[in-house]
Amino acid sequence: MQRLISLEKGQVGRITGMDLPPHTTKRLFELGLHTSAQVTMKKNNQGPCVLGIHHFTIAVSRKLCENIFVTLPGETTREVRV
Amino acid sequence: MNRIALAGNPNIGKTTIFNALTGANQKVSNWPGVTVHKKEGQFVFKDDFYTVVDLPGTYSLGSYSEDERIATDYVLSKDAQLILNVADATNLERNLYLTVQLLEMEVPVVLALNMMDEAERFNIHIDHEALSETLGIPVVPVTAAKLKGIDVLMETVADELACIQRGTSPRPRRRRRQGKGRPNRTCPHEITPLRYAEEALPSISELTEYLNNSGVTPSFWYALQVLTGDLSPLEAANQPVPEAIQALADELQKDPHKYELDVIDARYRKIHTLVTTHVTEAPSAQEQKSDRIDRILMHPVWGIPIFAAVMFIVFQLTFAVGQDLFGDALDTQVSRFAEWLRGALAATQVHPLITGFITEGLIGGIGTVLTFIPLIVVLYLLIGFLEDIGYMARVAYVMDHFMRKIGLQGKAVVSMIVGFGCNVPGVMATRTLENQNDRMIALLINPFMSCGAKIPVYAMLTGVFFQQYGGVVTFLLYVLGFVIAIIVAKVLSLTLFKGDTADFIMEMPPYRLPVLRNVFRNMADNVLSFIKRATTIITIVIAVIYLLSVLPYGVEPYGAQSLLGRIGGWIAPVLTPMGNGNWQAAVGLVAGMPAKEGITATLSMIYAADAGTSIQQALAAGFTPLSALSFLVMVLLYTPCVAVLSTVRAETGSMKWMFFMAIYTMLVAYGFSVLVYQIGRLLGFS
Repeated sequence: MQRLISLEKGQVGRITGMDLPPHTTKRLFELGLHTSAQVTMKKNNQGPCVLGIHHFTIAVSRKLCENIFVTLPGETTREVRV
Repeated sequence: MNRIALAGNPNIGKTTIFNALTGANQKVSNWPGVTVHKKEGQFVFKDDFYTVVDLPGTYSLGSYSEDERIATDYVLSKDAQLILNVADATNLERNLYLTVQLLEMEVPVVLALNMMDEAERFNIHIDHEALSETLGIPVVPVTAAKLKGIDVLMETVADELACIQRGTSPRPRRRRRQGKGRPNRTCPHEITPLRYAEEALPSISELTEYLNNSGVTPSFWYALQVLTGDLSPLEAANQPVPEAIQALADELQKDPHKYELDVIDARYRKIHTLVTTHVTEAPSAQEQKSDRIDRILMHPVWGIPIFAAVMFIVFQLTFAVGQDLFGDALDTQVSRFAEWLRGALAATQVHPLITGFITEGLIGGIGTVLTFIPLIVVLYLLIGFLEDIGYMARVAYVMDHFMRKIGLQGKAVVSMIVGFGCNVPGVMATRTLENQNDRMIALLINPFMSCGAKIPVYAMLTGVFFQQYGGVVTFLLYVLGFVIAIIVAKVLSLTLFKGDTADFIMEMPPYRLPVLRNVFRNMADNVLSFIKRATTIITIVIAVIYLLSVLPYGVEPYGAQSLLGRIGGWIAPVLTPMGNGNWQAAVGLVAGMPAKEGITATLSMIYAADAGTSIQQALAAGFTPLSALSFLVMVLLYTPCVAVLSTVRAETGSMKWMFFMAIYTMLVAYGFSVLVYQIGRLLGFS
C-alpha cells in the first residue's frame, strides 16, 4: 500500500483509504474517489495531481493526494480510514 | 400546474436540456459551476403547460457547498412533482450516485442519459431498457447538444406527470414506444422504495422500520441520514426509541462520522452492480487526445504564459474585427443618422431642448454606446468558444499554484473569468467555493475583473490616444485589474479572512468541439443584456444628465455654469491629483455609478456638444494621453454598478459588505489612478 502522490504518470492504483478530515473524505468519495475505485495518475509534477477515474478526469491537490492510500495491482488490500 | 426539476452533476448538460425544453437562453458552457442558482422556464407540450426548474449541478444531495445546498433543499421541499435526473452516459458510475439518492428519497424520477454520442465514441454501450427495469424508472437516452432524443424525453416526462396526477385511479399503462427505456408499469405506479446494503450497515433495517412506523418518511433515506451523523430524523419520530437504536444514536453522538463512508461505499457497491450488469465498454482512443492537449495547456511552466497569450490574442482580435472592421463603420452610420435627424428636427421647428435631447442625448449618448456592439459581439464569441471547448477549467488548474500564494485557490479563477463578462454572475459564481474565507475574498475582488460595460470606455479613449495599440492597452488594463485583484486578495487573506484555503478538487471536463448554438446563444444573451441596460438605465441617466446640462434655463448647454458643470466642478478638485481635474471627467465617473455604460454615454454627450469639432477632437482637447490612462484605470477599478452591489448584499446577506465593497474599491481606484498619473509625470509623460 502506498500514498497516491507516489504514483508516477501512467501508474494505476486502487484506493484503499484516506487520512483526511471527514468532510473532505466524503467529498472525494462522492466525486468518485471512493474505496476500491481504480485511479490512473495522469499528471504528477507540479500543482494538483490529475487523476483518471473511469472516463473522467479530476484534479486533486497534492496535499490531499499525500493522504490518499492506494494499492498497486497485485498488492493486498487493507482499508485505512482515519 | 406541471412542475419538474432538472438535477444532476455539474457540467453534464442540464442547462442544455433546460434550453432545449424551454427554448430559453440560459448560459451553457463546458466547465463545472456555470449554473449556481436555480432558474425557471416554461414550455407547452401537447397543450399542457410545464414549468421546469434548472438546479445547480450537484454531485450528491449533501450540503458541501452553497450551490449543492440549493439543489438538496429544493428536492427535499418536493416543490417539483418530478425530478428529471440528467446523467452523463460516459461516466455513469459516478452520476448514478445522485440517482440512487433520489430513489432513496422516493421522489418520482425520470433518468435522462445525456451525451450518448460521446458514449458511443468511447465505445460504451448502455442497456438503458434493462437499467430502466432494474431501477424502476424511465431511462431515456439523449444527446442534448444535438437535440437528439428530446422529443422522447418530453413525452416520457409528460406521461409520468400525467400518471402522478391521475392519483388513485390506476389503470394499466400501455406499453407503447418499446425500446425507449420505459418500464412496464401500471399508472399511477408505485414507487418501490430502494433498499440495499441491509447486511453491511448497522441496524439499517430496524432503523428504517422504526422511522417508517414513526411517520418519518422516506424512511430508508432518513435512516441513512442518521447513519451519516444527522440525528434529527430520530428527534422527529413520534414513537419511543428502541434500545438498539438508542445505542446507535449514542454511538453516533460521540462520533457522527463513524458510518458516513460506509453509507457512501454501500451506495457505490449498489451502483457498481448496476453498471457491471447494464454497461459494457471497449477500449477507446478518445481520452488520449484530451491527455495530449492537457500536456501542453496544463504544462507547469508554459500553462500560464499560454493562457496570457490566448487572452492577448482574444483582445487583439476583438479590436481588429469588432472595432476596426465593424465598429467604425457602424459609428459612421450612427453619425450620419444623427446629422440627418438633426436637420429633420430643425426643419419641423421642434423645440431646441427636445432636439438636443434626441440628438445629443439619445443619439449621441445611447447611439455611441451601441456602436460598440460589434466589439462586444466578437469578445463574447471568443470567450464563449474558449469556455465551450473546456479550456477554462484548465485555466483554474494552471492558476492554482499561483493563487495559493495569494491566499486563494485556483477555483476562484472561475468566478474571476465569469466577471470578465459581467460582475453580477461573477459574484454569484463564488458560490462554488466551499471555504467561506475563499468565497468572501473572491467575491470582494470580483469588481476588479473588467466587465463588458467598461469596454466602450476603453475603446473610446484608446481610439483617440493610443490608436493602433487599442488592443494592447485594453489587454494591459485587464491584466492590471487581475494584478490588483491579486494584491487585494493577499491583503484580505492576511487581515480580514485569515485561515487555510480549501484544497483544490475540480473535475476537468473533456475537450469538446464547441457547440456553435451555445456559443452564439451565450453571446446573444450578453449582447442583449448590454442593449437592455443601454436602453433602460442609461436612458434614465442620460435624461438626468441632459436636464442638468441645460439648467438653469438659459445657460449655455453643457457649459461650466450649468448644474451639470457645477456638480462636476465641485468634484473635479478631488480628481486633480489623477490628472482629471475637469468637471467633464467627474460627471462621467458619477454617471457610471448606476451602470458603467453611463460613462461612455455621458462623455459622448458632453464632448459632442463642442460645436465644430468631432467627439475625438473634443476628447483630445479634454484629456492628455496620461490623464486618459489614469481615467481608464479609475474606470477599471472604481465602485461597481448598482446591480453588482445589490448582488453582493444578497449573496453575503449583509449591507456591511456592500458598503465595504463600494468604499474600498473607490479608494483603491483613486489610489492607483493617482499613482499612474504621478509616476507617469515623473517619467516625463504628459
